[in-house]
Amino acid sequence: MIKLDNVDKMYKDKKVLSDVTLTFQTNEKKIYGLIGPNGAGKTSLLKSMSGILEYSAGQILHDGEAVDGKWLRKNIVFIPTGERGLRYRNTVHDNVMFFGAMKGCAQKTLKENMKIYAKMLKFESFMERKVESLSTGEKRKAILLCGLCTEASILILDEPSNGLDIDAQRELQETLCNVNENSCKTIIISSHELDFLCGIVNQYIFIMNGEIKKEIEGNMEIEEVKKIYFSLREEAAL
Amino acid sequence: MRGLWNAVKWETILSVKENISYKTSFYTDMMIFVGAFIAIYYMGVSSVFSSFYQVNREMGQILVLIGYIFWQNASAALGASSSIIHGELSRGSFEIRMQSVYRVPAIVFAKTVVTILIDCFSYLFIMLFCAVTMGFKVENIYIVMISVLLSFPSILGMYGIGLILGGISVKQKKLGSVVMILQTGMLIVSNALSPARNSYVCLIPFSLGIEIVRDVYMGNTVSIISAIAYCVINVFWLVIGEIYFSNALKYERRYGAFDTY
Repeated sequence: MIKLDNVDKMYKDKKVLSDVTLTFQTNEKKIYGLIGPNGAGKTSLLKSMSGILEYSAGQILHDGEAVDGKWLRKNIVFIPTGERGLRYRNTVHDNVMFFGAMKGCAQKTLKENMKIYAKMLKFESFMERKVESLSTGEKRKAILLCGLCTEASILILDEPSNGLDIDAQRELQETLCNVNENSCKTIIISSHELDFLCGIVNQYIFIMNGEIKKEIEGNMEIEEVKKIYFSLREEAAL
Repeated sequence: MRGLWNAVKWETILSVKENISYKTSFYTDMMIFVGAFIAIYYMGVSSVFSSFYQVNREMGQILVLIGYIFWQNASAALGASSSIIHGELSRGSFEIRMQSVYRVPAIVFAKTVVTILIDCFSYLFIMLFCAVTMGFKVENIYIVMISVLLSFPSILGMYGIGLILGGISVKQKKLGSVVMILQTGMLIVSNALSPARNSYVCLIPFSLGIEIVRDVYMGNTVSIISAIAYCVINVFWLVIGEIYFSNALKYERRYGAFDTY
């Protein structure tokens, strides 16, 4: 279990997260959906959780014990929007090995994970291809594979469906459900696209103006999510 | 330690493959480095060195070559380290490095070394030019190799300065022409100034290294104090660079962002 306990985050002189308290269960096959308008603090929250950024106050706990940035970077993977993290002139295989090595993953474990997850993502035939030769959807799978092959127990995806066509979105949804079902990784997704989220998420977190407004467990229809989102928006505006 | 070695190994593998694939960049780098040497040669710098060091013309030309090798490696270390950091920040791909469990400078150093080693290919073209124009003798290859080997401490020192510039990139996002100005200034220093005449020149990472190799070439006794000072100055710059860069990253983690430029 990962718990954020009264976490604040500053960006220059502006507070972007305020008293955030959240719990994420690990080893429970959960997919969390983080929903909020632009500037709500979604990305700041996720990057603070993954150790890329440092929070200004509060603490992050793992099974009751406070953890530091190094622990977060080893155990939580952040997959950014787009394909910025990939090195285009190198193959998918090389990118996976490099990413995993940077995250402190042993080479043997990486190779074993690569076999498992490449098969799960139906991506085996792409491993020796250079990233620059892949389509947008294939690049998205490549970076997802980089994250999956590490030993991290939590996978964070920031706007993973951005720029994907309908078919690619559906394929990504199936892939994430498949990964969630067959591995012990907890998945947290931040997205504006409710169509994409509602098909796979089983716990919703609503964030507005840097504060957590509501958490709802269970599957929901798009219209239900929209209703809750807009009512929270109105409350936040008042 | 094993994990860090693994991360450095894979950075090296990917960097080598990337550099090989960017053929145009390789050819233009070769042109710039060889062109710079040819420019220095035709400026008649060697005759100045001949009179300063009281040696013949041929030896003067080799003394220029020694300075040039140090300049090139130092320039490559400075340019590579600062441009790697600056380039990845502007593309937004530096953020991936921020997920590393290892210190970022250690991994970026591997990429810098790969760039420098590939730039060393330019020495082949320079030696060919020297063989045609100044009758460069095969036995003088040893001085080229000693220069390359002894320039290693200055590569560390210049890498440290590159980290300072990288740290400025992290905070300020733009470096402007700072790197080019520094590289041009270093070219002048390596050929016009000597620590024997200007003691503050010793603070430049490669200046004492040039004097040491020139002493070796001319058969002079190498001062132990100079050798120690050469190592200490470069370690100093490396440590300063690491501290500044780490603090810049820490500050940016706390109050900034790595994906906005």
